[in-house]
Amino acid sequence: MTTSRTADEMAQDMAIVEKNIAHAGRPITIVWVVLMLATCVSWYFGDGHGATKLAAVLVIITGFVKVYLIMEHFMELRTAPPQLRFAFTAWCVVIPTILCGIYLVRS
Amino acid sequence: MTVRDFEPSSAAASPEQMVPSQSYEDLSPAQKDAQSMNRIGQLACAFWGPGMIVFFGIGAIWLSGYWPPEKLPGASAVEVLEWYQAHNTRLKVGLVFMTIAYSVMCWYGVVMAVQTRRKEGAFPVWTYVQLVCMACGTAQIVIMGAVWYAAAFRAGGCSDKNPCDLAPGSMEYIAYAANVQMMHDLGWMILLGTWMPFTFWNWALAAAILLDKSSTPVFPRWSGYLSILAGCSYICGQGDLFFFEGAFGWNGIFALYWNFGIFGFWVLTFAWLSYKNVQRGYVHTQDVVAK
Amino acid sequence: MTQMQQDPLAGLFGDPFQGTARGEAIRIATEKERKPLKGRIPGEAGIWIFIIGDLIAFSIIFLVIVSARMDEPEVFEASRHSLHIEFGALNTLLLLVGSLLVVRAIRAMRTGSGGAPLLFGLTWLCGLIFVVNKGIEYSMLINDGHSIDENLFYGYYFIGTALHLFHLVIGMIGMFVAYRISKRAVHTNREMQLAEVFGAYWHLVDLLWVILFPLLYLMRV
Repeated sequence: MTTSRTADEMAQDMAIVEKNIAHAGRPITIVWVVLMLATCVSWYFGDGHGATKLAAVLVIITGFVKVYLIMEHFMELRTAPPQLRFAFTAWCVVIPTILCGIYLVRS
Repeated sequence: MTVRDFEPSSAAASPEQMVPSQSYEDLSPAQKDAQSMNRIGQLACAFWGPGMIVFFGIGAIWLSGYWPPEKLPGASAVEVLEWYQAHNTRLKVGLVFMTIAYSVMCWYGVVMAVQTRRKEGAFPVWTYVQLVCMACGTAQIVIMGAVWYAAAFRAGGCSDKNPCDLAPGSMEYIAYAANVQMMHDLGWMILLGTWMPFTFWNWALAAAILLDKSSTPVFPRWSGYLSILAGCSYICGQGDLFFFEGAFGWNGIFALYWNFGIFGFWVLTFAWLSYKNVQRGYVHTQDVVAK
Repeated sequence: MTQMQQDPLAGLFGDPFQGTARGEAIRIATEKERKPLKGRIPGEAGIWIFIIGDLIAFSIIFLVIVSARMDEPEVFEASRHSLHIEFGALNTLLLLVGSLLVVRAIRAMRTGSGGAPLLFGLTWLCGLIFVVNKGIEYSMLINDGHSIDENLFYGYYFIGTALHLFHLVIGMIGMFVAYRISKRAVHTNREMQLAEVFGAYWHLVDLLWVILFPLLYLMRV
């Protein structure tokens, strides 16, 4: 199944992986801290603070922002083929839109 | 014993060098003759993949109206009885088509098993698991057909000795309806609730694909993952045990549409891949032979 | 079958490029199939088909939960308050920690800097605590008299979290396999790929919970 590749393509792959490795340290930890903070924010809103509708929408959106961060940084979609990246980013936009739509229209 | 007599490639030597690049058209007449029986068999089996979907469509959607279910899981016994009586003959004919659709799964399941058999030696575990689970699953849903036959039969008529001019609302009438409803429920439970043989069948196929170490895979690796996904999806059918309404009840988007949708997609994908394999001329070979 | 394999897992997803040195692991990890697209598919293409399918299935669950909530807002709101939110929050924490550890572990495998087995082991431990925590939460709810057929909220709650739990248990098996792989001094292309596949799967488990948790525990009506 493996196809032969030019030295140029190999070098591109190397560059991608080296970029990943170079970014191995702080950014991932920062992303993780942001995820934890987002969890606290959504817990705060879910626990009865803020206007009900706004809080519910914020909870949904915070959840999907977290999902986007997980996909981009943890699942390494940042360096994935653009088509794959686009599909998952689109999912992160479409589903919360529908969820908020159902919630706002029917409440 | 060797079964590598009629390899598609004239220059093929070791299994590592075998390449599935030869098409059926490139074979010599002698090779074509030797393969024709097996080739026709495999094509017939692969054909029944889409074939069973067509039969299911005729029987379940068009004629009998089981799919999507008109009576909800929460319907009363009398409602179910009246539904069975309203279009009794049409429903019975539809059930026959449905049961045919289920039983041709035996054909369809064999084609993947024989094709992945090529990678296994004298003791083809994954092939056997596929075949056994497929056969169990088929037997199970064919029995589902019989259970609904019984419901349709009992709802449809009465004999002279056992007249059914029961007064609606009487205890006897409700008991009669409850019998029909019980068989109706039983059919759904067998169809959706006992997903295990199907799941194990798909997982065994996935194992046969993903555990293949050779450089000439029978099916592409992504189809192995698709198979795992399909196997996992049938688990949603378990919801029909717990829900009278909602997405996991037997009329729900999960237990019914997702389940059947992904099964149909899986069937069509593997029917197509199996057909492609036959067209590549890889019919009569075996990679690992018994010594 | 030319190569001898001592470890039963060594042959799993075997490949023609056996036995490369640890320093070579980085180079080998990049030698994926070259697609016409730019960029690199993490793990292999198949797992992304699985992930997309799984996301579609869970998207339906999300939509169903929200629209059922709008049908009976009072029932859902009352049932939501009877859940034990701190257990759900702890589970979020466990999964996020696990995800961070998995990312670290896979990078450690790539660079050959060591520590990957420990990180995979800790992730597995996070999964185990998740299971125990879930078990306690379930038993508390059952002791409180709740059950799957009490109302639609509890139906979706139990079946949604149970499906997620099933995913997690599979992920724990994956972490064990990744642990076994990372213990070896050398890993092949396919083994590295397999570790990445299970890593991506673990993140999937994480992100499903990241949505399920707010929809079940936090969303108000």
